[in-house]
Amino acid sequence: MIKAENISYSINNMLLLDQISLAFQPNEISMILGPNGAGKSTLIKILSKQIKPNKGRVITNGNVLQNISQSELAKTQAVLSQNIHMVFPMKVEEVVMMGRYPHFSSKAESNDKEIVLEAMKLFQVDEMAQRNYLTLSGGEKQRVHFARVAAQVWPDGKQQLKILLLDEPLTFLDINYQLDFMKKLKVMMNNQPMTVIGVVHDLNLAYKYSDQVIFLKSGKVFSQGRKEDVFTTSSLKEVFNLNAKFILNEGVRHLLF
Amino acid sequence: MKTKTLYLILALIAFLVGIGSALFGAVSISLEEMAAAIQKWISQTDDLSLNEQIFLDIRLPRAVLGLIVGGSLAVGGVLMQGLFLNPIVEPGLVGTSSGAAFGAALYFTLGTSIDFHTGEFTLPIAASIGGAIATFLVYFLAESPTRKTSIVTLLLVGIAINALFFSGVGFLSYIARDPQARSITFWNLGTLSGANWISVAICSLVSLSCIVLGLRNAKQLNTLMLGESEAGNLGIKVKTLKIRMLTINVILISVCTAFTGVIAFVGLIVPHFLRIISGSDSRQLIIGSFMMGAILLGLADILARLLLAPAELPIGIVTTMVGVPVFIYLLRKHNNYF
Repeated sequence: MIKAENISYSINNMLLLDQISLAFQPNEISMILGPNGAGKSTLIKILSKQIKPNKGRVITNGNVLQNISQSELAKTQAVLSQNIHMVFPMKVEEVVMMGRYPHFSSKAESNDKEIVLEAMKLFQVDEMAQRNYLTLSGGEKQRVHFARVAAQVWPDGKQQLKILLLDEPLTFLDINYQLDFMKKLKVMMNNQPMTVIGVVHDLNLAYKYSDQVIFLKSGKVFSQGRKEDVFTTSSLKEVFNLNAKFILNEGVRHLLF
Repeated sequence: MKTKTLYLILALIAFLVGIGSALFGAVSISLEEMAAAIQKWISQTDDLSLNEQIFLDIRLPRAVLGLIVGGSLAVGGVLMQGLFLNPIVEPGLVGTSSGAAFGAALYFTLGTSIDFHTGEFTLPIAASIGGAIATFLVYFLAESPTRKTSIVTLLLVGIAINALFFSGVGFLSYIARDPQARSITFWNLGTLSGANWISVAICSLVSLSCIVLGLRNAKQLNTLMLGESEAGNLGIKVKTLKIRMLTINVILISVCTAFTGVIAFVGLIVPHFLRIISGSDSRQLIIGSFMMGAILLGLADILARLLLAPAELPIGIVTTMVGVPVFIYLLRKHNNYF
């Protein structure tokens, strides 16, 4: 389990996060939503140890995050960021292999190569394994990074919890790949105890695939909980200034705005 | 191309260039004489002919030094390009060479009056101190606490620091007595003419250890290609990695510069072409660049001795003449690097 305890973060006297306390359960997808500037990305950066909170702490698998070494953390936790900009040519399979780097010291073992192959297959980039990453389209590049991050936290039969943090990962993807990605995430979660925490912009996607939802507004938690409880007409109005409706179709509640 | 095939081809060419480099010069030496000299050297026989002596004491160390220094300069280029994520960076641009030149020139002119001697290692140590000061000055002045180091800032700071240290070298050669001054000037333009077995021994020792260290960090250097925060997410301590890379580069380049002077652009050209052939994996780049850099500098040294024969052109001039067009081509073609 991951717990954020009383986290505050400010930069240049601007308070970006104000006393955030949250808990993320194993085998759940938690989505952090909020308007621009709400502090979503900052929160992901703190949870992934990229920046240190001014106050409060993060507890990951029972340990204080600040006390876990970077290299140990990378064995169980992967982060998928937006906008990865590469300048040098590399083969797709070499990029995906980087996800295995935390797991071996100097040469990839057969186990690592297998996982890379599996991860490339899962995200349908195995056909372009030998291609130069720089020549791919934006969506293809993003799928390569999905495969890389998946390879990093690939199910290994151990019961240790793996953590996947997603910072607006679906930006460049066609809608079918977005849905596809979420489904594949669920497949991976079936084979491995895993906590997924994501920042997404698409309310419908969050509504469809999340277990827990957190609404952030101006650096504070506006509401959190089961998606059915958090997604309400009044909260959507207050957080996103959105006039939303819900409709029932074949027993499933859908969000309309 | 298979990596091993590539290595084999490069090693073969490097070997041939080495032999070629030992053949050319004011005195022509035949292959038979070379073979005889090597046999006598192995059997420790003393009765060498003049040509055999020239080969063993002048040509061979010069050829070997050329290969090692060329390789080292190229590896320095790989490390700096990987660190700054830009193919137009090389050790000369980030201040290492000019700083090392200044450190070495300082020792040339004032070394006798300062009581600082560690035998054969004094000159390379003086160069390394100068190289370290200049490189870390460039690195920290170009770095900004809030955003990532921009290549434009880096280049501009590099220009300023290089100007400072080169004018320092100029000042030293100005105040130096005549023979010293001439040697500073010549060596400032880069030359392999001072090669001997001691410089070969020191350079190979340093070069080998730096390359082993570089290879041990190759995986980490690869992750930097995804950007600093991604490297962090893959378990890399980015700050320590950068300091480590800069330090390896400083020692490698400064020691070479101490013996050969400033030789520019090898570190720029070689990794670039190798990337086109075999991609950007740092491990392959380090090994391949070492051999390709050796080839390039070996060829440049042959040219330097042939162009104005029997006089000799400083080798730095040859590499610059080849390097500048490549540099400008890179600037104009790949402006997405900025």
